[in-house]
Amino acid sequence: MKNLALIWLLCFAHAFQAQDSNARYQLDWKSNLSYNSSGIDRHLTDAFFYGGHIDSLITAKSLSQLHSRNFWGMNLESSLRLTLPNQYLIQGGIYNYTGINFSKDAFGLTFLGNASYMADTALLSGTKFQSTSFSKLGIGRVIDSLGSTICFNLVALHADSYGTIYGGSIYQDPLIDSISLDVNAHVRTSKMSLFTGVGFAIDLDYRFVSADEERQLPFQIVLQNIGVAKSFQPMQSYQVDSSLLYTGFSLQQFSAQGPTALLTSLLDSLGIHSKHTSGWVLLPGMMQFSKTIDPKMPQRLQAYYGAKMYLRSTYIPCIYAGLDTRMANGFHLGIGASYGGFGGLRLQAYSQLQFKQWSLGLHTDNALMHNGASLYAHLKCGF
Amino acid sequence: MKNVLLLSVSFLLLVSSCTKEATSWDATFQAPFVHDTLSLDAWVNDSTLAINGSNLEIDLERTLLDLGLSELIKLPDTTVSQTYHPVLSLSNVSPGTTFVNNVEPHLLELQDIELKKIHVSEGKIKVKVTNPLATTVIFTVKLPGVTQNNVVFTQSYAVGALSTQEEWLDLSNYTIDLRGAQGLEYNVLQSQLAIQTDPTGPSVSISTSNTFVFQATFSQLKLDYALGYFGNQTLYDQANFSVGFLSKINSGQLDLSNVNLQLSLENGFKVPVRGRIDYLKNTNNQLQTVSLTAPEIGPSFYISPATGSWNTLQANSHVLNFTSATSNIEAYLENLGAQQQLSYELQLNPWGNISQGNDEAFPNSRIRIKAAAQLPMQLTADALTLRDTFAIDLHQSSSKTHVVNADVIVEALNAFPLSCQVNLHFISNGQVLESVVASSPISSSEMGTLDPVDGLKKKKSTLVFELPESLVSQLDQLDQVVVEAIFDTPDPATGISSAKSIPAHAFLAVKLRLKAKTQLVL
Repeated sequence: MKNLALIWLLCFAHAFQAQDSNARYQLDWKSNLSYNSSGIDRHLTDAFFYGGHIDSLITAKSLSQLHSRNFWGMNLESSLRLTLPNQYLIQGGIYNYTGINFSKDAFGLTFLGNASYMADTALLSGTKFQSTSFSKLGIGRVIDSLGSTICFNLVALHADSYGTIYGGSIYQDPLIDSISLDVNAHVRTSKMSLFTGVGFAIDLDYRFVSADEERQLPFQIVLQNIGVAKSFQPMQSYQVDSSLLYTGFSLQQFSAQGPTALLTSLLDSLGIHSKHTSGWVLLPGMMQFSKTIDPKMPQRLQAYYGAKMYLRSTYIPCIYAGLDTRMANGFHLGIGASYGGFGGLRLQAYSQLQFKQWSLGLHTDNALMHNGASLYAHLKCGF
Repeated sequence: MKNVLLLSVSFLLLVSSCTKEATSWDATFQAPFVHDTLSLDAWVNDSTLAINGSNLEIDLERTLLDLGLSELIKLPDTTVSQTYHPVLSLSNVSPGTTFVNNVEPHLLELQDIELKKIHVSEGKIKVKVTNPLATTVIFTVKLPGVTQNNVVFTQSYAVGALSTQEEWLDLSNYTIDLRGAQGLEYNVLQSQLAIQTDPTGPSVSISTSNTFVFQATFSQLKLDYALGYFGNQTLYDQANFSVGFLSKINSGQLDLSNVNLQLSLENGFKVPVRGRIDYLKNTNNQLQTVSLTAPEIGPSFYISPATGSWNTLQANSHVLNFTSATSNIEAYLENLGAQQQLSYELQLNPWGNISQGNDEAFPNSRIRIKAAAQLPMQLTADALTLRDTFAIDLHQSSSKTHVVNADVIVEALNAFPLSCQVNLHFISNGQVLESVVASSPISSSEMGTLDPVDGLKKKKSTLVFELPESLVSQLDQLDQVVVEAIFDTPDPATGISSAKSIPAHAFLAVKLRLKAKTQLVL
């Protein structure tokens, strides 16, 4: 891993020295993988990415960090944009948003089992799951001298799932004679394929400067993936609102029906209603307002700050602020803090290197890798 | 562009260097699995158990043999055939001309049985007629003596030119008089055939070579009434019957006392019967056989004919009584033989036709052998071992979510004065792969305390069957599980097995729950 990362950086260094400054085209490549949680230890999430056994210490550590309401989420993005000499642009990208809100007991039931909840009620209310994957292909235009852009995109929906437990609890009596379940939940899911549905989205990157008397401060409003998609097939939807008291089975039931049929009839008694619903999906659009830095400013230190949110209820609006310093011409380092999103307070850090028509930005929202990891890469080149 | 391509390939290498293996974690789940209360209440007042005071006693009645008229008198399938040959050739026979044949008798082959009258409860008759003429002929088949509601069996068929027609008819609820035309014979069926030329057809010519054929086949006749002489046939047979529960007892001893067994032979026919029990023996799981010995085994006895008729029919019975004082009935029952064998002989009319052909059987006439046993449900069980085998077909894969190990926890509340040690033997291809012994036995109620609410002594026990990882990992190979239960009736003071009475309404309440350490794999 380390060797590959080194090769990658050396390639960048070679690339920076090889470009000329009279570029007429501009290529932007952005890639982002970030995942974070308000309480789940990063090693637990890593096990889902890289595989391996999650030992009980990691589970226990996570459980101790959880509150009654918790978050876990992941953003994945990889996009490419080509700006033409006539200021038109073509872009494409692939995106995934996955967010989960969950109770501490939902985590405990999943990772420890129900044996830890003897003579106790496990509360599941408020647990919610949202995941959407899609690709887009769009055309747009640079609309002012500051570099503001607007882009219209055609969207290919790959998958969309949504689930929520409006109210849910599991109670086990002290002797495990019975388990009572109350649940009011809804799940909706589409088929997963390269082309499940089609949609439309707008991207707007609007930059402006403040009319401050002493200096002009750059600001940016970003609206990304604001749109909808419709799946070709109606989505499968499941609804349950019932109570169940399970006390086991009688010997006669066992001999007459067998365990498989009994478990099936038990699930049937929950009264899960299945139906097809409309396939409209609101895309996980991102909205961000920020005060950015101006690389041409003479001062070595500049502040940046902003707020960001997704059109998803599993995401808490995130605020951030930090300080940028120009280490050398074309080379900036920044450090800051953010709060919200899928987790709590996190340390931000970034570096920005510019050489002739090339620039590379590496950014992390979670420099200490507390309960997650985050890496944004932005490569820009002119040719 | 070349550099962009180089960068992209480098990034792909970086990402692909992270190989993904399965994600797994351990969680422990537990849930109630089975809850039930086992008692003997369902058998009380059900010809099996009775309550005597505060204890149960066995009051068992079972029918070992049950013969009806259909089993005693079996009518063979019989075909009666009649042909008609014109005595002279006739030309230009007018349409609608009828030729009537004589009534013909047909004798049933019933050996020494001489029946005058029977009633058919089930049966069929196949009527077949053949027309030799080139025009349609109407056949009228009549069976005198075969009646339903005093109407004689008559069927007409229009049979096409040079063809044969056959038809199956239901003969249920027909009465057949077998006394012949004069009413003095027995076992005689009668038939008559009439032939008519087609009333709407042309004139026809009939020659002496034309043969008009009629056949009636009586098939699968079952009787529910018969009058006549039923012969003096002798029935020898062995009745084998199995007591399934006893076949599961593998070892140990059971001590019973004050046993009474009656064999009752019941005659519901208006026929004298001679009977004899040759032997009654049983064989247990260890292939030990005990024969019942008593003065009643061997000698013949006689049972008078039933009296009355139809709804007033009263059977006559002969009872053979076997007690602890006059027989080895206790040893016989304590042998716990699952395979029981009764050899008997029954003879109708041992003195011949003394009723002058007036033997009679009605729909409710039966010859039965019944066994009835009464004994206090007081027993001594000393390592009495029940063993039962169940097929299992369980599968799991270690690469998917699977159980690592499990505890089966049994909570038992026992009101029976028996203790029970339960063991499980897991079998693969006939070999015991692993045995699991319960952490403790189900204690006898004698070790518990008296519940003033229902007056029963009760004892609570908790048993744990630990199914280790070594067993669970071989789940795929298992094909059977043997459940072994070892019963004792311990005395609370000495711990030695002693005679215990089973209290009325005794029960064993069990709650079984499963606690499984599970590895979830994604």
